[in-house]
Amino acid sequence: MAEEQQAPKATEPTKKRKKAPIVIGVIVAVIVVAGIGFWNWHEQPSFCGTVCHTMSDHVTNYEEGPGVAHLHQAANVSCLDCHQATLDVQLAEVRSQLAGDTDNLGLADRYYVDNSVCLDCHGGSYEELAKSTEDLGAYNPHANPHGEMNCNECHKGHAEQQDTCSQCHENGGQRMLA
Amino acid sequence: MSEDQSRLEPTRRGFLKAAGVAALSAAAATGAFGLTGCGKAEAKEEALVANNAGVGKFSESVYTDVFPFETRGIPVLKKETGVLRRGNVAYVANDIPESEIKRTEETDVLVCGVGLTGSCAALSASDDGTTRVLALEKMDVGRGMFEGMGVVGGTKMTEAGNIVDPAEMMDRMRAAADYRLPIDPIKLWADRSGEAADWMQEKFDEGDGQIETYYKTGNPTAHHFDVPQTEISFRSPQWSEKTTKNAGGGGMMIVKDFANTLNKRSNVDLRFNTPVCKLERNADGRVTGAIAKDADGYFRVNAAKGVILAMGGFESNPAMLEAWCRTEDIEHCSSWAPNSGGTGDGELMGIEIGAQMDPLPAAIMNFDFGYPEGFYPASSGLRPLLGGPMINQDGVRYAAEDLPFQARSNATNAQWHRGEKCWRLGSSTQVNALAPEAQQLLKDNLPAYVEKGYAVEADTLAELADKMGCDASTLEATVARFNGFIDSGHDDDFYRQNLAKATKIEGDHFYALRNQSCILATVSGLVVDYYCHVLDYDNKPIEGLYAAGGNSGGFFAGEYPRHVFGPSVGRCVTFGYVSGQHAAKGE
Ligand SMILES: Cc1cc2nc3c(=O)[nH]c(=O)nc-3n(C[C@H](O)[C@H](O)[C@H](O)COP(=O)(O)OP(=O)(O)OC[C@H]3O[C@@H](n4cnc5c(N)ncnc54)[C@H](O)[C@@H]3O)c2cc1C
Repeated sequence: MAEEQQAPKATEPTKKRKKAPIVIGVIVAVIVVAGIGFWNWHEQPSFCGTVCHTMSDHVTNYEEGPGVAHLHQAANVSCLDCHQATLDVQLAEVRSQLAGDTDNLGLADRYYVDNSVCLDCHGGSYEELAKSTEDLGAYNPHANPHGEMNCNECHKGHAEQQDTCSQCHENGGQRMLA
Repeated sequence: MSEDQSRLEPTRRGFLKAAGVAALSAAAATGAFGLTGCGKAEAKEEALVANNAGVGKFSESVYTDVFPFETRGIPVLKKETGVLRRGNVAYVANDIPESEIKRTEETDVLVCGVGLTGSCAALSASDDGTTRVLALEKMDVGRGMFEGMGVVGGTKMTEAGNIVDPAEMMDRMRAAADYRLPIDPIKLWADRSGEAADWMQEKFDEGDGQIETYYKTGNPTAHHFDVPQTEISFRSPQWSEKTTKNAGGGGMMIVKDFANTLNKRSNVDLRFNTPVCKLERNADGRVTGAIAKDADGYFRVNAAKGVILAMGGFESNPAMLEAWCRTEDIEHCSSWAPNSGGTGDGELMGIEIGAQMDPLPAAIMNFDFGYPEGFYPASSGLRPLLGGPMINQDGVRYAAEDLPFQARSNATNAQWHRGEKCWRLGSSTQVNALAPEAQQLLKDNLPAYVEKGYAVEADTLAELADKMGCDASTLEATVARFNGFIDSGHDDDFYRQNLAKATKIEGDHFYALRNQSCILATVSGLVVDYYCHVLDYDNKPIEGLYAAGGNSGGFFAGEYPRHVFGPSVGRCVTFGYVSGQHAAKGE
């Protein structure tokens, strides 16, 4: 990408005038190509892992490890599909970077995955999701009497799964597999 | 993940792919964590409650910036809380543009939050059959986590012959707060909780849950925390043993029954999945209503008579726990309530318009018997080992085991690294005393805890010490000393009062279980007067604004005094009932 970013050098004023539309065209093309290239790269797990910060275990256990992240990898779902990076979030992150505050990018907060993100693919709504696990009967965790819970309380993205139900009472013998 | 993974296979794929920067910023425009990932335009819906914690728009500094005065920081150790349960904050710090407010609704009384307190407030405000009540709950179910309530007087207490002097009870509550309390809230509870308990029974009679209140005698004292009996408990022939055995199970059924009764009343409109986001005040300072949000977006509610804040505390908002609580109260602890609605919305909304918040650090309700993931469930069968001596990281006993819950939590958090590695000791003596099924249950469940490092077992104390990471001779000396106290009948170190109930740590097998603090609720909130009006910082009532239950304040300081039975739920019911009565009359 580096060589593409070198705009052609104009030497003679006369030629320059003639070439101006071409130069602008080239610059636009370069920006577009670089933009698409950057965008594609930006979509890769390697981007998150190398460009801005160390991702601790998040990238490695996306490949393999505890948590549902690696299942998503197998299904071809990448980091930013779930950790949705809206512009204001990214700008806030860049601000922290520029301020040298790289230890505290607030990643857990900024890239928090809330239920709507999970439900978008899994069921569409909490009620529909509950129907898909109906055969768990009285202990269907998605239709529990305490109400909707955060998906990631049990289904940890990058950590050991948590069986929240059994933290207080029996759960009908269910186990978390992933 | 369930046994059959295929059931959870994605049903809809449509992720945003390589769509370019324009799409990225368009996505940003729909809100920080709005549902922007789906390519299909028609499927683009915004998350009902955006989780904006930590994002530029809603920085954590809101927890200090919200106060209407200059604040100062006391340099305290900064540590993350062990509470991982995180709900979505609904409070909106910025102004909500008029263009985003889709409609306006009119009511007499707006009840914000429909857990136990909000249910009581909505019932009480609508008791006259004419006052229009709009009750809005953020989650799909209101929180109902409790087994009993603490009251002074009332029919059931009186019939059972348990007569408590209200003056004595007020003194006990104030003493529990080291007298750091205004007058009214404790007085309101002592004067009217008995009446509120009677009223609550009437509401049960109106409902379909066949719920009955009854007086229950507890242990006469815990350690030297001598207090009168205050417990009113609940029962219903409809409840299974599971409901009654699980702490909080009955509460869930009560809140459900109240929702059912509210739905039957023609002057009540109860809605779920509808968070309240911001209070509105007119030029005279009167609270006129609030802005709430549902699937259609923001809407304005004008409440002609009053707004009741019943949104509980902030036990499901880790960032707020870190901002408002003592580090040692929140670091090595877990959450013990499967509800994520309590994110401090009610406190923040009130403070924003000038309400007086209890002084910080906030008081929390904490119990020990916790481990890093939660509270040791009764179903684990491990509880018999949790009554044993309390041992710290060095293998030294650190507190009397008959202390009330909050005192045990506090003593634990005063050990190394604020309670990072404290234990309860057990031995074959305690296990052999159990019925065969109970022994089996314990044996079946222990390995999972051992695997995670929460429990260790060994045939000798020396080996146990090794696994605990402490000095063997220290642990042996600690155990010998503890056993000696049981023989002599006097605890020279911690003055335990019920040594007669203690059993020795001896036999051919030994256990140590990690023991730490658990947070059930936060109990500091907005200071109210005798009528549940929210006060400003000059102690003047804010017109049109009431608060009750966990959202209200002036009742606890420092911590929740668990040696008194159930003052928290006693406050929820009494203040819910009283605030509803006053709001309905607009006085
Ligand atoms: C396991 C357990 C057992 C307990 N046992 C007892 C006991 O026996 N006795 C006792 O005294 N105490 C007990 N407690 C404490 C008790 O749970 C609380 O004191 C009580 O729940 C407080 O009730 P509340 O209605 O004021 O608040 P909450 O129960 O927190 O209810 C507040 C409601 O408001 C909703 N809400 C929050 N924000 C918004 C918003 N922006 N808009 C709309 N709605 C909102 C929440 O979703 C929630 O439903 C126990 C706690 C636990 C966890």
